[in-house]
Amino acid sequence: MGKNLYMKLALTNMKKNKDMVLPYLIANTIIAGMYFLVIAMLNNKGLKDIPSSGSLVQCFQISNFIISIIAVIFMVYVNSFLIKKRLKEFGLYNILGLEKKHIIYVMLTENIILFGAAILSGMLFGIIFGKLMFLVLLKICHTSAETRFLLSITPFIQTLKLFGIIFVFCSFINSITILRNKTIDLLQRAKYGEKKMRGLIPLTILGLVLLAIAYYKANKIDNYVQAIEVFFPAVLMVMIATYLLFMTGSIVLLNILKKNKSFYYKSNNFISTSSLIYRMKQNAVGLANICILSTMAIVTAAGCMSLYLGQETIIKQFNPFDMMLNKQAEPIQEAAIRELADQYQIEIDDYVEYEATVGSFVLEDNKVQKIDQNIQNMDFSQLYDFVAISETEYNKACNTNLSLEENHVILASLDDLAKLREGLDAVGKMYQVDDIITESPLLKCKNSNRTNFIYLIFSNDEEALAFTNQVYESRYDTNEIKSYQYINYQGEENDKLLFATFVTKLSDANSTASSVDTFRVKAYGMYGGLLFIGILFIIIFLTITILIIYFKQVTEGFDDRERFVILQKVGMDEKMVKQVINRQIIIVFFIPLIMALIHLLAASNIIKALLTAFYMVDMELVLKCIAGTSALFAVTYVVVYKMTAKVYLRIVKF
Amino acid sequence: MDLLEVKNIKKVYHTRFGGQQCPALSNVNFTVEQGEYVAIMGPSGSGKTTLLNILASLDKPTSGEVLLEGKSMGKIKEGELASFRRNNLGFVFQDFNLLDTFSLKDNIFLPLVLSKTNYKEMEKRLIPIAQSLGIEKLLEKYPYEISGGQKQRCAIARAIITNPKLLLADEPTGALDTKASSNLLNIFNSINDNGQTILMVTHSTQAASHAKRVLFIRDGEVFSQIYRGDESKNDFFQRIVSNLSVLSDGGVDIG
Repeated sequence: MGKNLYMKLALTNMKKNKDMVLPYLIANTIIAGMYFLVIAMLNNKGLKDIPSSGSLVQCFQISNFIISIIAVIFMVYVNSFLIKKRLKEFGLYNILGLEKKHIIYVMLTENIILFGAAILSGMLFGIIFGKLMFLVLLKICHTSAETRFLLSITPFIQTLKLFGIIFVFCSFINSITILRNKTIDLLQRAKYGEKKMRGLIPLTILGLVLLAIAYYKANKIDNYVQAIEVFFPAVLMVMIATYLLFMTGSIVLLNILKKNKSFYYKSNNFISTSSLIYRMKQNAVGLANICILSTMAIVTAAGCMSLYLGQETIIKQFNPFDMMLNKQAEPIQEAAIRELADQYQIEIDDYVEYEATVGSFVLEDNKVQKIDQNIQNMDFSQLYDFVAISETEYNKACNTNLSLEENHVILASLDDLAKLREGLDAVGKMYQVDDIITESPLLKCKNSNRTNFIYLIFSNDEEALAFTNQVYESRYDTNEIKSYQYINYQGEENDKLLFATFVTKLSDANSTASSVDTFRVKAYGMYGGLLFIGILFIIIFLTITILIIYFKQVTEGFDDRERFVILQKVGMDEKMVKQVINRQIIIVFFIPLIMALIHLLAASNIIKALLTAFYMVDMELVLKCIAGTSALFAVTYVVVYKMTAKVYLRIVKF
Repeated sequence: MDLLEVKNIKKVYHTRFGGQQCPALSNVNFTVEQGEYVAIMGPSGSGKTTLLNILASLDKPTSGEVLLEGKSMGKIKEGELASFRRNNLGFVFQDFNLLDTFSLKDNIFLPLVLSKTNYKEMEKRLIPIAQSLGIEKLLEKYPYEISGGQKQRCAIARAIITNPKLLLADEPTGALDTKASSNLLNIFNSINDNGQTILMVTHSTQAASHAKRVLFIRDGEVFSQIYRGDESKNDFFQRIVSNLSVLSDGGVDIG
């Protein structure tokens, strides 16, 4: 046996199976290319020039991890799928006189060619698109394109390593499969009957119950803490339910249809129903996979997209004022800030300064209570941030003339606090409420309104501090009066950033300073990185989904061909055959998509809640993003359908 | 009146690019009367399968015509062919051609369902047929669960449930063992006795000896034919064998 023969055999096999090999190769190339790209980005020296490259690096590390896992699972899955389809062919070789070890050589040669080609073209793809993707990244991170995309040796080595491991693993599995099957089995393997399925109805009910519980849980929650708690169990339940419903539920449903004689014995329903039962028994897992992958792709993409598109809202939510400083002792001198502003041609619009204590509490009816750290399901609508301030400080900050007596308090808040008019019970200590102010420059701020936020104005500092001590216990330090400075300003983009950076630099260990402009730069990096991941994932998920669908259609095409030939012989005309085929493809093809969209609809509440963890509050935008990505996904799906249906019809045609 | 009339059938196959011509049937003439049981024999390449495909309206002759009850098959429109086939012809194939996706009952019902027969009527027709073929206990099973002989009996049920004018069988015993074969041939005899016209293409002398008449085809023509008359099956068998030896003169392989 010369080496050349293996090579020749491998090449003819691949040519003969090009309907299978080519899509597999393309999908592997895309995954290898994506992996290469992420590693290349991660190790790109030019990345450091992007402000907030830290969060980008984190994003890439996460996607690197996830892509590696997906690559392994997917490639092993498709490999085992393909090898099973070829057992008959291997059996034939065996009969023609090739020993199993020779068959393994042939298989290895094929795999080497396949993986080699995929890795090489993946790298090429990575090199070509790396630069482009980097430019896109710069663009979505709002960074000028002065940095360069520098390729190091690491992505090459990493890609080789990962795909080398996958190659070895797949080849190992294939060798075992070939060795373990007897020749006669190899030949007959392709033909097998259906197994009788047991426990169909209980399993279907279990699936429905799990799905109902998961949907219910996902729609009952209303804040992100609950959402995080519920999310993973719910996802797991939905996944299990999806598998169960595809594997058993579909068959139960079809059996019910079959029992209905006046429905079943109609020429169209007759053939579709029975072949769907047959089809479902063999393909339920594949269809469930497609459904779950589709859901994941849409959820990831919609989440990342809404964060990216909503980042301005998020930034404003985080920064009600353009700049917020707080300091334990002496504030930064107003003069120093104004001097810096002059230096960078910044015009300061508002400047507010006060001293107060801050904290947060739970407000139930008119009772203020301490936050119980142990409570799991806190009602977030009852949680308020507060500022306890003396009348002098408040009057100074807001140009008012409030005057209070001891044990009296004036509230300023945008929330509805009418129930507090009768008095405020602060963990047992009663305060009389003199007034509730709803107009205050400290609440309606330039960038966003502060809600679930109360200013409590007392007659003096001591009382304010006493109140805070009464209702709030900081985990980290004691309650103290600190100084707060809020500044709104305007100027050129770049000047604002410089100004903000330098003011921030004035703060020290005892103080914190934040500004909408420095925050925005960081946010661009983070949300840009997230969007990038979102795009990457949807490409990968789509690639995998498409490939699975394609393989299913093609292999089924060969199965179905025989059946349709028989049907024609028995007296079915071509028109009828075409109708039946179309109906069947459409059902098999679109059930996963429809199911995915239902999952998505049920999940939209939890997605919204999860996004509030990122301070994403623009729910309309979130819904739009979900709808948009779903639509985009569905369109791509339909295009794929058209393409595979064509291949399928070509195969089935007589 | 003759049930089936085959007049001057000629079939020429062309190679893919129209260059070479390859005649499969040069000139075939014969008739089949109502209630007859005819076997067609001939060596490989004699054109048996081509002839059967033409009779089944699955293929069209290059020239000549096939008349069923005086009506020319060639004049039936393409769109109506399938329903013509369903209503007038029954088929039994060598490899059964049962669908794994259907239970046996549904396989048998298939042509009726395609003709939009209602369920009660289908049930009514099925019961006597299933009983006479001995498959009434298998009806809920699937094709991959039963033996070849059982499959072929089920295929016969599917072929005759439509009350076809003509039952066409293509090597019906080809995939069966001796016992199942003779069982099947007895069934053919008994349905023929009930008036069903049968036309069977076969290699097997044993199978042909069950027929009332045997046509021998060679080189695309009807070479000779013999009637069984009142002869016993064994004598008829002997006569077929000697005819085949004449047919194979010149080294043509039979079998």
